[in-house]
Amino acid sequence: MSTQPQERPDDGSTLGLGNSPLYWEGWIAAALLMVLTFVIALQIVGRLGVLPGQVWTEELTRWLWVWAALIGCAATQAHQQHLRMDVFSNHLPPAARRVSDRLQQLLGLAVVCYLGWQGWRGVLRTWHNESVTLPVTDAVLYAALPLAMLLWAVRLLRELFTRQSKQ
Amino acid sequence: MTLTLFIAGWLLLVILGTPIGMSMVVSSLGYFLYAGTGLGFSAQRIVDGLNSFPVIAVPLFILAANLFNVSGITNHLFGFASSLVGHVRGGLGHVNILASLFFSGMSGSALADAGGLGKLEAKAMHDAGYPQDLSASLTAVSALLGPLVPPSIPMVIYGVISGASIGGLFLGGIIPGLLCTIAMMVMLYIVAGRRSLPVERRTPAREVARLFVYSLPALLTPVVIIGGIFSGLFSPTEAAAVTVAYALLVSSLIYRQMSFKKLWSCFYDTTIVSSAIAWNLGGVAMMGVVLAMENAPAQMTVLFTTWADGPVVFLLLVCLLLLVLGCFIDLLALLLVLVPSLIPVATTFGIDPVHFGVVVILTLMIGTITPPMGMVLFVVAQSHDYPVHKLAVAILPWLLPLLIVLVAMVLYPPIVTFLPNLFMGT
Repeated sequence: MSTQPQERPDDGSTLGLGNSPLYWEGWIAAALLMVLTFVIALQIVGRLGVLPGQVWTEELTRWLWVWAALIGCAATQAHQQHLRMDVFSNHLPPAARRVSDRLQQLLGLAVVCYLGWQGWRGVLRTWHNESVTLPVTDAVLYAALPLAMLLWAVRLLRELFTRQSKQ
Repeated sequence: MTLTLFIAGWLLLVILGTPIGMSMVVSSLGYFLYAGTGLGFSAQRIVDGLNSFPVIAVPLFILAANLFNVSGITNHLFGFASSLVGHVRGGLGHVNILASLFFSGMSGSALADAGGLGKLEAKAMHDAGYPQDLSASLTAVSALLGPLVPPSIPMVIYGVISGASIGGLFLGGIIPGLLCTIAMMVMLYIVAGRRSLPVERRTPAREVARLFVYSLPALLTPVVIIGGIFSGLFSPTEAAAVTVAYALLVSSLIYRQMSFKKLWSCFYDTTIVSSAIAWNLGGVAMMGVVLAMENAPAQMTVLFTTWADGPVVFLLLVCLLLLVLGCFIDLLALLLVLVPSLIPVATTFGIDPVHFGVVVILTLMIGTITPPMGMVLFVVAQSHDYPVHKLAVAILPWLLPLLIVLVAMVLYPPIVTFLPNLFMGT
């Protein structure tokens, strides 16, 4: 997988992403979502008695969702799909809007760096807590946050420098 | 005072264009810093907020809608709706509404309806010579049926935050969804007479039957979901996974439109949209701590009990508040931030949480088609190639049937509670 986004044809799918490129963080998150769907299917067939039921499926599903959702945040940033209200900011004079956008990017960067650091502390804090049903420590769950924040910070930095060079 | 400053700071960030989830995180961190407590565990709140099994129904229902959208089922549904009501005065307008009702049984998102089926409706109505203002307005207003008729993503989120039965909410939305459909069709019938809209030729019964058979697998989706939940076979999240499997089977084996490329694309797009929602949920988990520390629900109770002397007045006040705020604030943000503080007040007034939820969701959905912050409005304006500011005016009369149903739901709760009571015996 390259770090450059891949183009894809418009297959008419879904919610407006259409012809937009694919980012590798999104690939990872989509793969996790695929595994999650499979694990829930396993849970259902297990409970219906088709296959032996497993106690760990629900917890694994939740963990996969946390990982997919957080890792996907960086790709969502790259696609500019984080929900925002730009009706008022669109009416700002161009110079003021540029300043406002730049300040928000810097604020976003500071916040994700802070959350990444706090997230890492969370990993250390939960290192010795054993998961209820999975044979790993809870730190695996909380590790999603610092990693996701790191990826998001890289995306924000790329945006900051790319846009600056365009200007 | 601190709470007011906190809310004002958050709103300022939102107005400046900061992403909603990020604005919640920033304002919450600011509060924790000011209060001198809560910072250490702030990041953990995001993970804990997401670490919930019911929430997983959200990405799965989005995925199911995406799979149905690429399967070409929208063409069959549109054809079937056309064969049923195309010959009635208002022709394709009625088809637009009915096709949205059918699609709402597979999708829980108004945006999926507006963005998927909406494109098809725009082309068909444009080719038939329908005025653009009318076709765009009908597509936008009928897209609201998506989250009213099960499955429904806002209902899943409301169920998670309120603890109300998600299955009960799904059942509670059926009669209001049907009433909204009828109300819109009645209004269209009246408008069609005045504007001399074209009608389609009547479809022979044999052709109707053929189209019905083609559409049947898709039309059965809500039966699979509701049936699965109420027979005790699945939880709502599992029902969402079953819907994904069902959509996959239907699109690959029956409609033969699925390829690995399309499947991957559906998963990818679902991830992007779900991550945006998840980040908001994480922000709300943090903001929820602030609201709890400031005792916001209690403050809200005092405020509303001063103004309202009974459940009807309270519900009408809530509707009014959400309709006004819905013009400026995104549905999800209102649902996640404001509604949790209103639920204890509704309980104080003895309002059934399912009744309250469905009323709130219809009200918030109306907010998605009112300017300036109307997400559905933007998507429909794009798919119909019609300016947003013109659509924002053209759609106003079409709010009337929705508002009539909303008031009816407030005044007569059994419209919502009849089916949940019948099936769940509460």
